[in-house]
Amino acid sequence: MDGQLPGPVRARVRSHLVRCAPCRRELAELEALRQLLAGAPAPPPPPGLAETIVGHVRFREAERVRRRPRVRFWQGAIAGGVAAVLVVALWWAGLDGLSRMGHGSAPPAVEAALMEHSLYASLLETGAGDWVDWALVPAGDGR
Amino acid sequence: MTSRKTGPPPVGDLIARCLTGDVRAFETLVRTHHDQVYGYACRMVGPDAADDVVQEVFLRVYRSLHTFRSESDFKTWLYRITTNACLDHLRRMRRQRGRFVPLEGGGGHADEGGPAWGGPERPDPGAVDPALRAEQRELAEALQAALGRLSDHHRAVLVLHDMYGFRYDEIKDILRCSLGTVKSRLFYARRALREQLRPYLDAAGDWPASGASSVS
Repeated sequence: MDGQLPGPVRARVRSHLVRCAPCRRELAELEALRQLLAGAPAPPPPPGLAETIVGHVRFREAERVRRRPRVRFWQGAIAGGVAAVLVVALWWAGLDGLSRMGHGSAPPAVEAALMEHSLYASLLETGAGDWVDWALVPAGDGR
Repeated sequence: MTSRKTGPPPVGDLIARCLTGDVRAFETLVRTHHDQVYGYACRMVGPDAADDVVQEVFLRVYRSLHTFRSESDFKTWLYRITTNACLDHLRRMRRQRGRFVPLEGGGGHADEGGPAWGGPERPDPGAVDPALRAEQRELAEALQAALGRLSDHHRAVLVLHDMYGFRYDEIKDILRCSLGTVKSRLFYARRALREQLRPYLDAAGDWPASGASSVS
């Protein structure tokens, strides 16, 4: 029916149809169905559909282009944030390394000087010390 | 329909112009093919949903023009996109409704006294007769209902082959399945449809108004 059978097979089918009424009837029904389908009028598109389609595509594409820069901004912001975190982390690691050097790895005299400096700084900050002979000592600890 | 003198430019030229941003070229592409795409979508998803599906089809066409190979057939490529859009729509509807999705539409775009969506597009002397028009409408609705009872893939094969004239190998490319699958789906689809439309089949298999335009 669709012209897809090889020649010898088609010949055998034709020979069978000559002798078989039920198969002839079935073939006739299928042929009628195929003609019915082929002859079915095509549903016409609504008026203005082509314009609607073009408008829809233009709108959707404009939306897509409009959204693109916002994505780039966030990408830049995230990248900048990551870079800033890395810089701070490296700086902190550097400080931490230096401070580690100041608490345990320096010679005793240097460490003593650092500890006095720390005490001096905390007295200045808290105002808990007294000035004695131009030196700042813990309160009540007269020299 | 376009005249021989001012026919649409070749598809390859249109696509090349579309890719340079030529909107008019895309409009020409749409005007040339939208009616066929609409007709196929109607058969697949029903007239109520066909408008939306067709818009989605051409959006996908626009976004994937750069992937079209000039040596392949544009019609096959277009119908593949259309089939996928129809199947996506039907899957979405089933997820929402959880059951069989009927394809019968309302009066579609018929005006009062005008033909139903399944009627002839061009004025036909036979269609002026109200009784004939009613017969055409009944048959068109019966056909659409019968198509709706097929599975999506069976419907696609049947419509592509028996209504749009695609060959087995073209359908194989459109649906990305084997030749054997095309044949078996067509067999089962025809058998199912024959049972449902048996009252409308006569010896000649003609529609009530013979000479009505055939689907290309």
